[in-house]
Amino acid sequence: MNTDAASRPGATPTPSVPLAEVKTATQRAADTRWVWTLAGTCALVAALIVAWAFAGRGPEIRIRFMDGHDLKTGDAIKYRGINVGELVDVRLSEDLASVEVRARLLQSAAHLARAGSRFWIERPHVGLGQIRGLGTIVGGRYLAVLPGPDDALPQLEFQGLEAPSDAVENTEGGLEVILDCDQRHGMQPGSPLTYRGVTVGSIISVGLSTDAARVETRVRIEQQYAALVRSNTVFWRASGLDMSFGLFKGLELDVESLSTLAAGGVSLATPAPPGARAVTGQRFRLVDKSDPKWREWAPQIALGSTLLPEGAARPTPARVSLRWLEKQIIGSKVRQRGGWMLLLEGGTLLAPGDLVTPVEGSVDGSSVIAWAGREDRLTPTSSVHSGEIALFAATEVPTSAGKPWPRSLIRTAAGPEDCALFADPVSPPVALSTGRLAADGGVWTIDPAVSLDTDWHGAAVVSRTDGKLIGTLVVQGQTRRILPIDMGLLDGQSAMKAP
Amino acid sequence: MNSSARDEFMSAPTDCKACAHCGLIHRLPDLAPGESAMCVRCGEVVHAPGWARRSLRITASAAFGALILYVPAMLLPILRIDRLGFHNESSVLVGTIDIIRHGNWFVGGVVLLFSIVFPLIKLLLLLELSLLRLMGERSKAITHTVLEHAGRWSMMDVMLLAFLVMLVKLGALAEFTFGPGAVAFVLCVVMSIFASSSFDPRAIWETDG
Repeated sequence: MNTDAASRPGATPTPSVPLAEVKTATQRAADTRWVWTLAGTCALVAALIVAWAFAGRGPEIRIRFMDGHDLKTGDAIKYRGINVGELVDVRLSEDLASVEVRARLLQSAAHLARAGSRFWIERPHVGLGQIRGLGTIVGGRYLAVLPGPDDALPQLEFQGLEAPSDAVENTEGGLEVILDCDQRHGMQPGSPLTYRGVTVGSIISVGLSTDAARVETRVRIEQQYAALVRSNTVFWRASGLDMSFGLFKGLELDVESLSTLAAGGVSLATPAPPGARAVTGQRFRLVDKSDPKWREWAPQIALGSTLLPEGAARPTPARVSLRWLEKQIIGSKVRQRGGWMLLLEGGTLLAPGDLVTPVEGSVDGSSVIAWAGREDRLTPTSSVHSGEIALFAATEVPTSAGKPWPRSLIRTAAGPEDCALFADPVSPPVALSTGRLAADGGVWTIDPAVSLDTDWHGAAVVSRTDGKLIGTLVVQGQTRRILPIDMGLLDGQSAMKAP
Repeated sequence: MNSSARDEFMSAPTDCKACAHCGLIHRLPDLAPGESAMCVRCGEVVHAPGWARRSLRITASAAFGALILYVPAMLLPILRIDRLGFHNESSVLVGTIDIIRHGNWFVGGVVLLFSIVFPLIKLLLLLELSLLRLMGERSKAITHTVLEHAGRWSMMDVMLLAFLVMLVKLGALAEFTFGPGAVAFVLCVVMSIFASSSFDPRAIWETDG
């Protein structure tokens, strides 16, 4: 091989430069337009990312405040303790008269942007009656929101509240009355309104009447307590501290509660035959001192519930506890289970069947139920059944069992409907919407996402539309079912009792 | 180079070509459509009809994809920081502008230049070279030179490393979550690396199409 000739410039290529091999290529070389799908894929991915970024973004709302209280862009809006949006912009309005806050809500919280929603800036507040917003000392300010009524129209512009809202969450349906007095005596908005020491409402505003002759106090009574206020109800200032000194009785101190002592409040009492129900706007005289005999007034007034229609009474199920001796290989063992049953007109009690029948596998005659302060031995004939629901015929109904539920307020429901569950009379009921119930062969199964523990076994189910009893809740382990009322069971029972 | 010599060179392309992998020079045989010339030493493709067009198309496609992803990568929130109730969320562009506005001209400028401006320039030049094949030889040469130099300073990937460092160091102090911009950013980096690695400078001089 002549390497000299090959390396010399200008020389013709010699065979020392190898000839490339020829190979039949695959067809991918033929058409190369497929490579553009790469750019297309990128565009698609970019579009997806943008869609992801903008998903979950709800409407943008504008709120005006007189004072910004150090609010900053990026601060959160919170409702029920979690973030529901964030501030996009905080600036002075053009006329320098207010602070304009623009905020973006999350998609899941978009419904907060509706007429009647109230926004305020949560900040540390240490008052005599309460301490709130401590978290904002370290964690920065946030905007709190209280949504307006469910059926309100969407709204995007709001006037922010200057002070935290003390209004209760469910303000619609409450009762508002006006109290007249001569002196303000330290009453302030937010102070509690108490009935027998239980807070039933709060003071909304205090101010001079238009002719400056009196002090007018507007109070709101929560809906479930509205029935307590009657035409003959008396109101007095619960200044908290009542001190009197007598030669023989010594020093007497009467303190309502620490919060009324500090913030001042109003108490009310209604005499024994209660008068007509008060209506919103009614005026009452607010007196300075309570009469000792007012404390002895004990009218029986059925309380309503915010979940029930106005004027509907709430059922008061009685606590029932079933005790039995379980047969063991050697001897026996005491077992127990509990729940609720509802006293009906006619002296029978509506209860889940497993609470009022002798337990299978128990020592004969050992099943005993304790309810309303008495004990009853269960026999196979002491109750009638319809599926899992039973009617227990008590031999005697103690007065402590509460007011019987009238027959006229019971009906059969055609299918799942919005209802409220009532068990423990002093704790709040649970609302269930139709969407949480699945009809399954005459029984409604409750969505597992609703939290209800076994303590609700036997709770009364009342329709939210007409306040009538429509079923009984049965909790068995993880399954919670509502068994609609079977009118046949009620009729059968009355027939059985007749002879 | 005088013009007649260049014309001669351009009109009669040499039939010799070096293998891109092992550097061995080959004489190219006449190729029928569907055939390709293979290296006798390493077996890689030395030449195939239309190879330049294909190479440039891949580059153009990747660069175009990277450019599309560049927009959400810069504008969407990339990092969310929650610390003791303070919530912060910013995109690369807004974050960089914030750094500059707070007076950190040096750091902000460096980030702006190397992570935002140079990557964009690099992508645009790659697109220009691979798509606009009608450019004159001189402007091609200039563009290529600029690309060679500016491309080296395009360091989007360094930013990724910075995020990682921040995540490790502040992980205990604050809560970090990646925003949608981070996904776009990573994909944009991948695509722009792919575009520049698939770019074969020899292809821009090829006239056979």
